[in-house]
Amino acid sequence: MAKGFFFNNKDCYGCMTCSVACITDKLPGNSVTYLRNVTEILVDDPKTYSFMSMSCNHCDNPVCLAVCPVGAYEKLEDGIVRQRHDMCIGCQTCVRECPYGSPNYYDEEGKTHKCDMCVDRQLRGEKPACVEACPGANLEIGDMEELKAMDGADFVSDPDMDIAPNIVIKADPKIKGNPAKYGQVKTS
Amino acid sequence: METPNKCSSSKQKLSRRTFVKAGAAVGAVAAVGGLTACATSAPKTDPKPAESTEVAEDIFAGAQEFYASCPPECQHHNLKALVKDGKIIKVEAGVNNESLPCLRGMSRVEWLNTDARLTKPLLRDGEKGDNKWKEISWDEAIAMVAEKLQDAIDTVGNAGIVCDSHAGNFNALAGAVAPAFIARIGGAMSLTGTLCCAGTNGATTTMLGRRFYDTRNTIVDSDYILVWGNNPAVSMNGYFERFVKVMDKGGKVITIDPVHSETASKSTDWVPITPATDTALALGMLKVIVDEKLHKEDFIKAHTTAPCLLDKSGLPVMEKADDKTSYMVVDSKTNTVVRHDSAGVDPLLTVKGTQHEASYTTIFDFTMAECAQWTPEAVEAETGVPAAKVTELARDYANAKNGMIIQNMGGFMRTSYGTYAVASQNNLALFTGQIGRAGTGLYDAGGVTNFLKLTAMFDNPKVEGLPSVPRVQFAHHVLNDTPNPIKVFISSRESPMTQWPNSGLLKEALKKIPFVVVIDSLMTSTALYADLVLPCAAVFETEDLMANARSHLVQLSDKAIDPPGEAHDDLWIFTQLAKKMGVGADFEHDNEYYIRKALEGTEFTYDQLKKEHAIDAYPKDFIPYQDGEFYTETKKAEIYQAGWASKGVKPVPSYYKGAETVGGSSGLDAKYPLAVVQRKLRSCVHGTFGALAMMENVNRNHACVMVNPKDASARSIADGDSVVVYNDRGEHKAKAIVTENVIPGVIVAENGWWEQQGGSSSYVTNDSVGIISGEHCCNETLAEIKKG
Repeated sequence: MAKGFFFNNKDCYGCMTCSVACITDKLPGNSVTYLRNVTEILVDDPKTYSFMSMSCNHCDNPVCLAVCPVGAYEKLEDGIVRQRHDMCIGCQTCVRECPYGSPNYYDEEGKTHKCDMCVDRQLRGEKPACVEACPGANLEIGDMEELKAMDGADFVSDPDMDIAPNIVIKADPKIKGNPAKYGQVKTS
Repeated sequence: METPNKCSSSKQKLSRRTFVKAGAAVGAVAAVGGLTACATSAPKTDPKPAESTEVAEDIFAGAQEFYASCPPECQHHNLKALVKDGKIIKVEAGVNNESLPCLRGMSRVEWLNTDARLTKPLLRDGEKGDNKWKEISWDEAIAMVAEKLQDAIDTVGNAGIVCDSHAGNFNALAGAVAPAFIARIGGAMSLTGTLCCAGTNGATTTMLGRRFYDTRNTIVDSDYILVWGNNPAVSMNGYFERFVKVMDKGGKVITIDPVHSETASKSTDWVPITPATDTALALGMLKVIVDEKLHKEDFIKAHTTAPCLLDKSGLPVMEKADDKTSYMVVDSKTNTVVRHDSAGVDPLLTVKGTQHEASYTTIFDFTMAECAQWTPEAVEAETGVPAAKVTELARDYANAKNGMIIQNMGGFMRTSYGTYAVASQNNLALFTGQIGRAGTGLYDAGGVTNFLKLTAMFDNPKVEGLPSVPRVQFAHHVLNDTPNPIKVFISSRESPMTQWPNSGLLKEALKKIPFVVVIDSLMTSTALYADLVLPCAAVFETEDLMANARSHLVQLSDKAIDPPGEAHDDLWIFTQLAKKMGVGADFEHDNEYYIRKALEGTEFTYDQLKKEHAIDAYPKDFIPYQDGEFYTETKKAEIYQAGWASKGVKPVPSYYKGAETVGGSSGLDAKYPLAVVQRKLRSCVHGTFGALAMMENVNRNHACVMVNPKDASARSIADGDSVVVYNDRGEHKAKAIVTENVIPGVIVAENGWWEQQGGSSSYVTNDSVGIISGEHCCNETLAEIKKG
């Protein structure tokens, strides 16, 4: 079994509540080390103001786990990639290597944090903080096979990618397709 | 191409390869998400699943729970604070909300705990604006304010004092204490006109009898929605998904806005429009509707004053001069002139071609005469909306089963003739009967105020004979000593230096006023220019009551913890002032006393709210103006407004070109050819929240402006460049987002940035005042932009 995130890029309107719900739940007192980030996608042709919310994709072959020199990362039975924070030495190797920018280094502490899909909340029968807080209900978690079968699951992990991220995206139809025709992708 | 737009926050971590590896079949979403990255760079791993998962300790377990309303000018969601060891460790969704609260409410945990909180009275110890302070005791502070107030009264009179509040906090008690104090010392000069929606007050309250009856519970019943000049994806983010549902069901959402906003991008269609020309579009749509006979005659006759007669001088024909409800109509059955509300009357909408034409016209004809010149082609020429689109909008709205206009506090009304912009949209709903049913109506912003009349917490003595000046022209009046000098300005629950127009002039005014007192919990943009800053409590640090015009809930806001240091709530501060000035008799009570008093006569009690925290007090299944019942004296929608005519303009909606527009009478377009409009950001409500590190880090810490590539290239401005937006009023520094998502000729500035973050876009905004309702004209501003 592999748990993953579902993100509805078509309907997300970029309020960023997921990011703040995450940081205030996972890292009380911290206003810097966001573990879920929302990226603005401003495209000129076709005119699009869209958003991408992403944290950790809990990859089947997680780079963070592979490169961590102290073995601080573990893959749980349900697929969640968790960092054992007490082991982190703050070397930031994972920060450099993760293609999604998921691990985030916290200067003040000298260590790195990463989304663990709120595994502890899940074990208590709750949803991850980001999923629970999304006003538009545009985030969900679930078993990847079920998420892939969902209506509107436009983009799922490419099986040829060794890293095999566990995320399913329902894409904004305006920006789905060949990026070459879009001109500049802006983020802010 | 590290990050194409340098207008980015420090959290931006998209790497170069994230972009360049974007595959042909995946698209921009995946490109930004990075999903196609690293196909070859990922080392093969064979992770062994961990055998067991230990549940970490729940750091929030055992926390005490407190509830409060989030009180700035927003949706007033109910929030819950978790408290451990006397400290608030988390703020999350409270109970009974209509929709989920947003990031801003959650960020209160930082606000409550930040070292930036003000904890002692601060006396200026340098020039205004230097941010140099000396801590003083409350005794000294209160004595000083009392002495300055007394001096103002002795030398200028009470008119030499202004004690102002605005939309920073809608709580009942916080809102009651300052006016109670001022009334007891003999009053003060008042500032008139709301910054946001004077146009709605001037149009909807007068035409329909009352406002704040919202349609948000029936948005999903609509099949055609015109979102007009506002951006609910940001300003109504709690329930924006309701608009998405309309489209999922096959309905249409059309956004009319100069900006391709978050809402526009999600909409079925975006209709860009030249700023400050919205009235011309609405008049043109009404012309198409009536020309094509798409209007609903029965509704108009039964529920509006449109059939009522005007004499040849354009004045209403009344049965009795002293009875404002005695409008007359021509009864088609008897061909006689009778009262509009006579039994069995079937009024003529027009008297053209009848014997009555020589003596009368109808309000309907009078209204349509103002639309006559607004052919679709003329609308296109004025507004930039293509003629065919004008016709399409008119037809689709009129023909919709349930058509709704989301007008709210749209940017179009913050213009010189904003009242007409609102009124002309109201007429679209009235003439098509798209009002009074589920899925129809005019605005989804409202609250319980019309259903829950709180008892006054203080019985204030009447104060008469004191002057008032328009809030947006406060600075002019201060600098010109009109109608008299201002010696003391007390400002609470607001931050004029981010929100009022023409910040530079306001700064001069604040420097000129001998004694400026700001009551706030943080060093705001306005506090920087104060002589004395008084530290006040934040939400969860004082008990208060919320029952206002933005939420369906009546809420008791708990005091969860003490304010930091020597900060106190508004009740305590004004109580000390009242006592010092010998008028403290009515202030000898605690918060609970006043809340209980306010609830007297309502169906809710303090004890019930203590238990339930938030109760939905909006009548279930309520439909605003149901079946065409309006709250005016005639019980009809009053299309003709004598009050507008008394200001020297037309008594029905008419299009007047704004002075500070391209082609407008100010002539400023020769020097400043670009129109500036303001947009709201997700990281703040006006100025509130905007300077919290959590908000800066999740969004960004500096202002941006959107500029069309045409305008940018003409000025050699590239995406991400530092730019200065400027005109004769001042400068606003920002970074450029060069994008087709704004139409040529328009700059989109952002509302709410603090002085400490580079300053407000209000440094350039128009501080003229609308003649009909005292409109704030910030969206009728001309400027130029340059690299800088």
